[in-house]
Amino acid sequence: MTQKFPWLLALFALLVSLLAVVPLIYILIRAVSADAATWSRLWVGQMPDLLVQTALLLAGVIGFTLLVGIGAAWLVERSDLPGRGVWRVLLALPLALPGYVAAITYIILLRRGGVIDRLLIDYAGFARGEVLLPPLYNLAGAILIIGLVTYPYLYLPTAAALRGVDRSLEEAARMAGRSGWATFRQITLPLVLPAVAGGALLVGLYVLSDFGTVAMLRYRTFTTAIYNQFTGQIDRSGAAVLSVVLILLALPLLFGEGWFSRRQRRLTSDTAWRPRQLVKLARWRWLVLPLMGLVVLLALGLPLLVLGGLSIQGWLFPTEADRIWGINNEGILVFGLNSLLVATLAATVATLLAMGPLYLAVRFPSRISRIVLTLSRSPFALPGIIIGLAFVLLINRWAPVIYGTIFALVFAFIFRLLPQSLSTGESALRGVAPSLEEAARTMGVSPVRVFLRVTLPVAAPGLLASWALVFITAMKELPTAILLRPPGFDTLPVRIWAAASESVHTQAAPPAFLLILLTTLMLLPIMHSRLGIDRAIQDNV
Amino acid sequence: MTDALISVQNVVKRYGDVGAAVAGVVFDAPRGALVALLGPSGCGKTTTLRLIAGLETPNAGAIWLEGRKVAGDGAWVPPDARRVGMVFQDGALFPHLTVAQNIAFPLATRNGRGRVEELLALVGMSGYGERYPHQLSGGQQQRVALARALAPAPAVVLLDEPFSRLDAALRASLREDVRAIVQRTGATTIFVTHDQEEALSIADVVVVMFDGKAVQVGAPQEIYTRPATRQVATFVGEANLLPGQANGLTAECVLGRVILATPQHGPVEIMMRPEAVELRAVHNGRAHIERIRYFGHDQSIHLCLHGGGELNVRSLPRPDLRVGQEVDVFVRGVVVAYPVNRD
Repeated sequence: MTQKFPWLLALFALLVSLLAVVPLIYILIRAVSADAATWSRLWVGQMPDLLVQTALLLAGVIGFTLLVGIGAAWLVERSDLPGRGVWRVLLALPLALPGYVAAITYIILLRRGGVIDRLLIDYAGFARGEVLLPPLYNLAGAILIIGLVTYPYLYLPTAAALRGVDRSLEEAARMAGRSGWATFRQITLPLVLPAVAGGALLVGLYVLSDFGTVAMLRYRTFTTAIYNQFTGQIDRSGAAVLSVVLILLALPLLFGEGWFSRRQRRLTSDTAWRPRQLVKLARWRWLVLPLMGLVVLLALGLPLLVLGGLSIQGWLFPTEADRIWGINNEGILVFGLNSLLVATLAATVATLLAMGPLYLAVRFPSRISRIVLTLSRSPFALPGIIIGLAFVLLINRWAPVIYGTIFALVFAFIFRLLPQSLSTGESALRGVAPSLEEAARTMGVSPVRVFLRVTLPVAAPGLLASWALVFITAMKELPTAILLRPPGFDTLPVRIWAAASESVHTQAAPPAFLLILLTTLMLLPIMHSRLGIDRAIQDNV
Repeated sequence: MTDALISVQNVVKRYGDVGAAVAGVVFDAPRGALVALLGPSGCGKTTTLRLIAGLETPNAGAIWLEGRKVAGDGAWVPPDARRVGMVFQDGALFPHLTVAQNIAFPLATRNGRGRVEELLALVGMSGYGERYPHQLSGGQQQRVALARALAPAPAVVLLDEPFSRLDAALRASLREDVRAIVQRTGATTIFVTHDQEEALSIADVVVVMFDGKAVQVGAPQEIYTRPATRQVATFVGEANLLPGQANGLTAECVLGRVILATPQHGPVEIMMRPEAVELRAVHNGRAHIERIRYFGHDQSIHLCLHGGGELNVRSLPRPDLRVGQEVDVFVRGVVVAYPVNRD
């Protein structure tokens, strides 16, 4: 069906994409226009150390997640691990856990005077300082904690790829005289490698853009350096320079991820209907089961237990500090409602805005629509801290009226979420067969009504799942919220951040517990949606 | 053992509690023969093939390859040690390897270069070695898959509906090629199909399967002209079934007396193929022509029998046969009859 080019739609899409790149361009301009002295001072003073710190963290977290992610995926998909259906869900759930919440949990547990320390002193009769708990504020601590919340980015795509390897390929290798192990090494592994590599790059992107976790663990990376440059020294150009370097670091990871995920789609399919032959673990299961249990316990069980326990304790037996921090009054409820309000608004608007460039790109593929889509996606490489920074600067310069209002916050959130809405929404829209729309057009229905009455309802389940993923990101988003929140308007992450900054970590427990309850509850239904969490996940950084 | 190269003996395969996918299949494949496993979808033919390949383990029964028991009674030879080549329905070419690498995959030796060229030539794909599978058409992919299966010179080659994804014209030419290729290699070949024309046209032996059982094993002519059951008769071709009364080697029906292939007694259903019936235009016959479907090379004539019932007849195009024409009906040769359950 040849259609007139939809100028109105194209205009809308172009507008969205232009708005999306404004923060990126603004940061670039600020960085370029910074004087040479700023550049050289940062280059000599901070850059070498930051690069080394970041590289170490990247390598450590990627190594850790490769080990856990691939191992878990293989066990769940290919072995006769008992309770595979339950593990499949449990292993994915840490996705709902923001890194800074995991960090808070372990700080509460392990710091001097923390939960474990007190238990040892009060009940086990040890003297103060007698038992040395593993230190958290170092590279190993950061690797472990970030690794625990990011391994699902590797586990999910790898598991999906293992499921998608056409079964007859492995059978053909067996028929060609290969043993089970040789088949895995020569056929299965090469076929799932792009998925593994793509997942590893996603983990890398997370590490680069993470702010809350490293800030709480006092590990210096680019994001914390940007934050300190901006808030501590009020050096806007310096912050912009650091931001640009960070973006340059993230870009290859971003392009690499796209390349690998396109390649994976060529190598695997979902046509194999026969149940696979599972590898029998036999006695190994007694080694494997506790290991899996440990991963889930550390990543999900302990945070829920510790934060939940402290919340209930503070609620039942409030101390003076609890009263000041407002645990047992309606405070926590208000923070929760604030979070829900901002996340719902931002996720909804971002999903709706994303429809423009997406529909144009999916139904009217042309050079223009491709450019528009790429443009609107480009802020994907922007960590939240940079979006927040860009918005603070932009708003102060062009619209100081809305600075410090909820509009500014929601506005920044929308831009933070837009690239993700574009990625997750795309598969939902692509799932609508063009023939459905064409059939409706032949019945004399106008294009707008076709979109509303055919396209949207058919894409609805996928779009809902996409919305939910974006919503989860919004609920977890910390740096943008810290930089742009209106005075007195606290969301759950802001509240957690505040408690951590004041070193009253136990006070972060109630908001953190509420936050992971809400995000986990949101994630559970998506895991059963048609969209498929595995595909959607690739964009949930 | 006989000189059967493949012997499948009372093999049973169950999946969970949902009955048996294969419920006691018995057949032998002579050395060098091309055997077709023919049956409707879900009859267990593919499972039987996978049992022979070693991709499934039987719950009961035994399988012998080249006089060696590979499955059953505690014996088990894994698929990689059975010296069996297999062509999968979708080709199952490794997408990350080139055509040449795919074909060299089952070859243990490093100097497989010459062998690969030889195989490419054998399947008519010389010059395609450096391409990747996604750059080939469906028919080309199946040729490469066949070359890969033949690479280690296996004694047995298994093909799982290898032509089902190809269009009709390509399918017809490719299956002739495949027959010629496997015959040249001397391998004993089993292929699975639900297309009776495919089975009859290229197989030496046809195994007809229904509901997990091999209902009839025989040469194509035998399967077609002497189907063992009514079910086989209607599955492998068009069949007319008329009620009759058998008495030894003859039977009475609305067409008069017909000669039976095997002696029977009592009420029977008489099966005759449409092309075994001859018509003569007359003024007052046993039937009149109700409908004619013209195909060019021949035609299908639908008769209304005056004694009750209908009959389908195949004949060359003839000017004297028109709709409404009265005809006399003659049956050529012997017919097969199936006893009717009296209850």
